[in-house]
Amino acid sequence: MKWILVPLLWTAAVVVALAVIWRMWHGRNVVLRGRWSPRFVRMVVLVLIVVGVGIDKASSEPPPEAGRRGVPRVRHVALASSGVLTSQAVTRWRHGNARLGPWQTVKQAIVTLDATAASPDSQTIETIRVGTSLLPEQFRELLLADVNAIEKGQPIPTVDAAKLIATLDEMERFGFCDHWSVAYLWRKSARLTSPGDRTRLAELFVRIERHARMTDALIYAQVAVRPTPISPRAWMSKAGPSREIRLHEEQIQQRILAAAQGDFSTHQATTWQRDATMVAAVGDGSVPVTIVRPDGRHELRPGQTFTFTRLDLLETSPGEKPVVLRHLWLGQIELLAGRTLSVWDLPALISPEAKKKLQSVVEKAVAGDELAAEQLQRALPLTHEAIRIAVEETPRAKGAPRLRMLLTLFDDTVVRDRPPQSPVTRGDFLLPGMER
Amino acid sequence: MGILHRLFNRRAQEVWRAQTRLLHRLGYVFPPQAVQWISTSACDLRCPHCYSCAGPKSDRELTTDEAKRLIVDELVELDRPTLVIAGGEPLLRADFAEIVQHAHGRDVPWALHTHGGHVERLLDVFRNFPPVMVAVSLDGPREYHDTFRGRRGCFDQALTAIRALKGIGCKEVVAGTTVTRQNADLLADMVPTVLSCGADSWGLHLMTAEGRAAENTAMLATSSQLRRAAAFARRMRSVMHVELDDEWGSAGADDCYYRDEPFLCGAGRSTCVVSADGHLMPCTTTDPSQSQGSIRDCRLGELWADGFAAFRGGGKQPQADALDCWLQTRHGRSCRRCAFDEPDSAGEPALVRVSEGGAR
Repeated sequence: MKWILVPLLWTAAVVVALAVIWRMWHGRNVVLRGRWSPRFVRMVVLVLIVVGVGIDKASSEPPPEAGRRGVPRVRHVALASSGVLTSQAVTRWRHGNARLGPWQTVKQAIVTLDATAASPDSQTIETIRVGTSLLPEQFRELLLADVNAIEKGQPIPTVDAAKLIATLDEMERFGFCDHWSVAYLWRKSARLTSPGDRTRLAELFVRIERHARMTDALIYAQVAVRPTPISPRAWMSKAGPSREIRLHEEQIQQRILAAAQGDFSTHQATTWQRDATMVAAVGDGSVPVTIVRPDGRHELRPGQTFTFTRLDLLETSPGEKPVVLRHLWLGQIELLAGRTLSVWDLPALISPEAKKKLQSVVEKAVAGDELAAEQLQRALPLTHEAIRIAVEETPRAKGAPRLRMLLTLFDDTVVRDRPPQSPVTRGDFLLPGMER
Repeated sequence: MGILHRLFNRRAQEVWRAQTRLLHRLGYVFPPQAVQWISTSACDLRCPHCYSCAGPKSDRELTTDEAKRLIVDELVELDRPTLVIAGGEPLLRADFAEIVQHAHGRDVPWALHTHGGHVERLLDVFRNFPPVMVAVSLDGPREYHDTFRGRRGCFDQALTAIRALKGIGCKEVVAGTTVTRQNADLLADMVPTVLSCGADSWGLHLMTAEGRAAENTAMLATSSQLRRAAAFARRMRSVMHVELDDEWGSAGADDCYYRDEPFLCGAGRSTCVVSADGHLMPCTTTDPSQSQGSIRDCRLGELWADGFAAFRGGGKQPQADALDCWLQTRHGRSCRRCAFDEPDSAGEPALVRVSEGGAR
């Protein structure tokens, strides 16, 4: 048989080769229709890509990568070892973040309340009360206390650091990973004024950063896995999802979990690292200062330039000599010895001359000067307080909308509440273990 | 969910680009996923950012019969991609209901871009022949929107349209905002309106220098505004469904924080546009040199199969770069860098100008 088979195979190969050549040079293009031909082609392409021959490196530049330029690097232990993300947590996260789910509705109601500064109507309050019923208990308490205060026209209640950390703990155990929520907790940290709270600020900020990266990792993993949505068929609703659907769901949780755990240790640039940062330097004659970042403590020596983010703390050592920071246009900023300072404290430390300069830039920005607004944006950790006051006083000024946009970058959402000015200049905050 | 599904999703962008090129070499092409039809150049507004220079009705517009035969029936042959009816203002076409009814009858899914002013009048059409998506333009707060659109009451009409469409159970209603230099910093102020209007999602477009917008390039958003708007969108996605649309280009690995699907420019690869006078274009450009032919002279399916070679092959020309918006890059403008890259210590990245040949 071989003497027949071999020539036949050769003939077939030649015919196919000729057909391919003819198609490439003379044939008219054909639209691939139907169900199977596109799938088959995709399989072929996948094989080519996997073996590395299908990628056209010349066709475009590589896409922007997270954490490429100018932002402090952070390296953390992998989430897998932290034990926070479990399959159950992923399930809850997926359900909690469902579009138009009750939690989304609550967030929308609160953001609307915040943005409009209007007195909430009874329907909004009810929406929030009902929608929060499935939230982790401590987080729910915080939200409802705020809503009650808004309803009664009272100031937003303050919360201590221990409560904020406990709330985060509970949220993560519950699988409740959410950017809006963690930014809400961070804004609460503006009111942490007691020495006891100050000592836990670094811990809180580390947790907030971890939570934000965990949320980003979940979002990334969800897209990487991209589960096919399968919902129970109507006639099966009484018996619950079928075994097939349950298995499918379980597989998805596992895949998202695996992808999130893999991504968590490498993904760098959350909005906390990207936005509302400023560049400053330690003054030449200054004593060193320690910057406390989510990845640890780093000593900054005189002349060293650094980027300060909203989750960084500056720790000055005890002694007579103050730390002097140098900012490009706001000049020297003196940090008193023996303090732990956050982004909430910095505006109060600007010198009187610099405050005048800042005020003049704010006035220009309020009047609509684009360059002045950009100048403010590049120093948000120092300028946010002045912007807030200006926007509150002249909400309808030409430049006010732009300044409100700047504040959304700093606050991580649209809010109206103005955190109280930090009492840091009164010298209340000492480092742990220090005596007055 | 098989191995193909998993592998494909992990490397969707590479697979998609490679298969487009490979198929192109072998003389094959996938059917389009969406075909946008500029159904009319007539519009009762004169917005300065209009990409189609809409205003008076053109003499060369497709007739009712042509629209049904040359577009809808052809789409059936192309595995029924979504027919996106745009304009001008498509609801000013007297035969709108008839065309939509024909599409519905032939199982061609349809979507609509409108300023919203005539939706209430035609609500029965939307009820009887439900679209898969309707995008209603919303440019800013009331005062800004009405001034920009040149007519008092437009803002209220847009909101009424969104509510009415949701009221009759329209599957997806999008509030569409074209970000310009004038409204980029009004986005935060728009939040209460967008949240309360009932829209399912908020689409943020970018103005491109096409049509009337080409005469108003001073209205293009600055690099600083683009970055702010993108950062704003990323935050708002935690609260509602916000999407950065195609004109922004790809955010690379960070795409998932700005949109639901990874970006790939579909011009000539998975989408195309039929202009008001029946020419097949890669995207919403008014440049006649980009026409692949008229559907009056050649069938839509054949034009699709044989056209758009520059988009489907590899190379360094702007058309081949599927990670950026061709409509922007053809005007020497690329927005993805300033919108998504991290700023360096010196401040904001400058708006990237695209030199000849696509190099940045």
